[in-house]
Amino acid sequence: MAAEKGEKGAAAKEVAGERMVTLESSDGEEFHMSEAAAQLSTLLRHVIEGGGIDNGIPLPKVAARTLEKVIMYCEKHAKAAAKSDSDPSAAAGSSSDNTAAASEDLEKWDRKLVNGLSQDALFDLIVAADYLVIDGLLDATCRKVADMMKGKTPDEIRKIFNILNDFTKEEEEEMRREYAWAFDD
Amino acid sequence: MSREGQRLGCGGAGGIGIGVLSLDMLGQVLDRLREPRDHKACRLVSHALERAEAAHRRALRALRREPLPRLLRAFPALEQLDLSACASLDDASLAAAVAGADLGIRRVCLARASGVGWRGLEALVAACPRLEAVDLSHCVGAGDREAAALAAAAGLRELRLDKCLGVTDMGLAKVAVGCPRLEKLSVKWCREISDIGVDLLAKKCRELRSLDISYLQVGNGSLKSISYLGKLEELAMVACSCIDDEGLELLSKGSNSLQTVDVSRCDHVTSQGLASLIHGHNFLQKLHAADCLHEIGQCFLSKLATLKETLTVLKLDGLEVSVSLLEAIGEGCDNLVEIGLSKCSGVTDEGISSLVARCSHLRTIDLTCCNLITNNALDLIADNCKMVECLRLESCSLINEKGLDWIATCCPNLKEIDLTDCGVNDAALQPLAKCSELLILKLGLCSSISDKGLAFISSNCGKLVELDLYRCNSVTDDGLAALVNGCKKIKLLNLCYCNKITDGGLIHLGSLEELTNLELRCLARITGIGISSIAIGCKSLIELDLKHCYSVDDAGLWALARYALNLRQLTISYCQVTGLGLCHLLSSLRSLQDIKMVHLSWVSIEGFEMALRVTCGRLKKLKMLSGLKTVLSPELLQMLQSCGCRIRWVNKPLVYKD
Repeated sequence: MAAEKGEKGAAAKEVAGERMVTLESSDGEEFHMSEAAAQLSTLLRHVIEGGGIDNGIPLPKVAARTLEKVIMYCEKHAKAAAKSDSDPSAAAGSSSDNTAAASEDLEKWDRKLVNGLSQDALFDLIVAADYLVIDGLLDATCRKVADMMKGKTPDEIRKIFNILNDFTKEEEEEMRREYAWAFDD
Repeated sequence: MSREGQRLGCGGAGGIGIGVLSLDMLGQVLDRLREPRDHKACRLVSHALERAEAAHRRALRALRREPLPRLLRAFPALEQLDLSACASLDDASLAAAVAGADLGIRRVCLARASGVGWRGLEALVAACPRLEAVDLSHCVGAGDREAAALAAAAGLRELRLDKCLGVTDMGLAKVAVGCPRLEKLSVKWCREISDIGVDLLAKKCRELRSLDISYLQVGNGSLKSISYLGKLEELAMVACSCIDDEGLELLSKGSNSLQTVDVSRCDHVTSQGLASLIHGHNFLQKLHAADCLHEIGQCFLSKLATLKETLTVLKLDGLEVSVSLLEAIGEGCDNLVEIGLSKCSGVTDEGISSLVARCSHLRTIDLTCCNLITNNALDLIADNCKMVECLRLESCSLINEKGLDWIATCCPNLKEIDLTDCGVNDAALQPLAKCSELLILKLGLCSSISDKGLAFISSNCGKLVELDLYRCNSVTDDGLAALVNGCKKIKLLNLCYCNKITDGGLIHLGSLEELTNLELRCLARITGIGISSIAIGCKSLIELDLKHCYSVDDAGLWALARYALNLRQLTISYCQVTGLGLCHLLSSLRSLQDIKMVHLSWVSIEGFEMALRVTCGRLKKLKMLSGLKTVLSPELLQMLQSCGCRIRWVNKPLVYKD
């Protein structure tokens, strides 16, 4: 969905009957995204409602490669929502099975998305999801980081995320003792 | 929404890495870590993660009162505060901890915090304007002044005053007037409360959804008042002996939305009264009438049928039943999910057949002491109730592995099974091993159970949390080795009287990191070596019972003193500990609140004095030989009691028993 380099124009393009929104990443690249997908971001929704989208929406905090992933997520989820809405739920018995299977597929897709990211890309995506206020994406990405921390010792966590241990030996010992003594959980 | 950029120092190859996440975002990640152990680990990673954790922490269980003031300010997002394990908590320290603060705390647990009184509660209420739920249960000294202090929390929605023996109608009235938004209230055991108090409560607290007046001496008048509580869904009146059928009829005339009613052990309630209750409330979901009915009349049975759509739980323990009764229940209430027939006489295979033929949704079936039932009954249950999760078959000695095999085959959801005193052997455990969802397994008094049986269980029941092998004296160390190999999540383990177990077995148990309760009564072969392994390895140990473990001496308990820092309850009656060892033990076990030490023959009077003094008011329960009552110094006993310690004096003869 990356636009041709140098293409300018009205953001509210009609592509195959769907209203599109143009977004500009921090490094100047333009991206297009359906309005339905943009609605998943509370920030973008407010901007769209406020009508300020004629010349594209600049997102100085989101880099191109991150924005690409954001748009992938939003488009996928918007499509899934549209599908379940239009699904003739006449078959009352099977529709619940269908929706359960559909949401499971969606979850699998989310997991695949976050699993395929490098750590830096993952953190950038968290920042973007937080900034754009996309709850589902924030949840999926934070859950991935949490999963990476589960069951690990402090040392292991430092190794995985390349975090410097800025506690002194005494501080660390003091803290361990304190916690065990004061509240231990 | 402010976002502070906190830079985590990151060494190494390229990128700022996790440092790009703000404190807020780190908090979002931490919110998705469920295990307290993981939070602990994160806190120790770096300053920034520590700050993030502190900023987002929502619940705290404080063990010490000294750091309380600091902790409450260090965790600004705190919503739940559990002070039930806080050693020597008293008014002064509680008040000092919350003084001048404006805390967002919503829920406070002060169960058994017997040192806290109205001064502390007043300070707490003033400092926590958003207070919604308070648990003051088992503070036996609490009374009307404490109730009045809590009444100042106008937003209070849930209040537990179980066993607050000093609370009277006056205190209840203050709460009723001060907390009109109350939704859940329990005044179980507050026997000073009468119909007058309940009447005022019903008039003022119109939002009440759940009320527990069990063990009170209230009468039918109370039920009339309660009948006006339009939103009431749950009502418990266990052992209310002044209530009878008339009261239930008054209750039935009310306009409330009762879903759950418990009239267990109400001596004067008959099935007639229950019939009229159901008449007025035909959306009842749960009916507990254990140990109160002597017989069931036709009027009750026909009314029961009107609850067909809604009734899910029916408890009729202690009743004399017949096949026709069970048939009527089965036909009338085919949506039943739980049925309690514990200690009911007359329960036969035929009766079970009629019952389960219709009630295929049953998940919990309690047939404790229904000793007429055989494998046939189990077959019928297995055929009809595929969703069964909990089967209580204590003392059903006619069943064996054949019936259990069919159950295990047909009911994959089985989570709990009680086979205490059933006389089953290893052959029964082989089919049970198919139940991979098994959480609770009780095999007490099944002396034929041996290592072989444990190996079966261990092979597939990896989720097992509770195992009761009381008096399964064929179990040896090898059995324990097999057990811990497969069942790593065990929390509660009972090995009392399994006297073949030695230190070797305990060394195996040392790998159970999640073990919280361990009972090892009368294991004469275990010594300090085994205890050390337990103390070091079982990091979560909270309760340990070593009664009659004659070979455990000071050296053995030294390891406990050094490593078992979470231990809250300990029984060392008849162990070989000396005064010095006891003193060391009691001064080191900082979390210990309950100790039973009857017949420590090697401890002198001075030894007891010294050891008890050194507990510094931490103890809440103490059990000792009554002979000591007269020889221990009165001011020591006074000091213990003023710190909220309850002392039980027992008169046990010194016999070496098995």
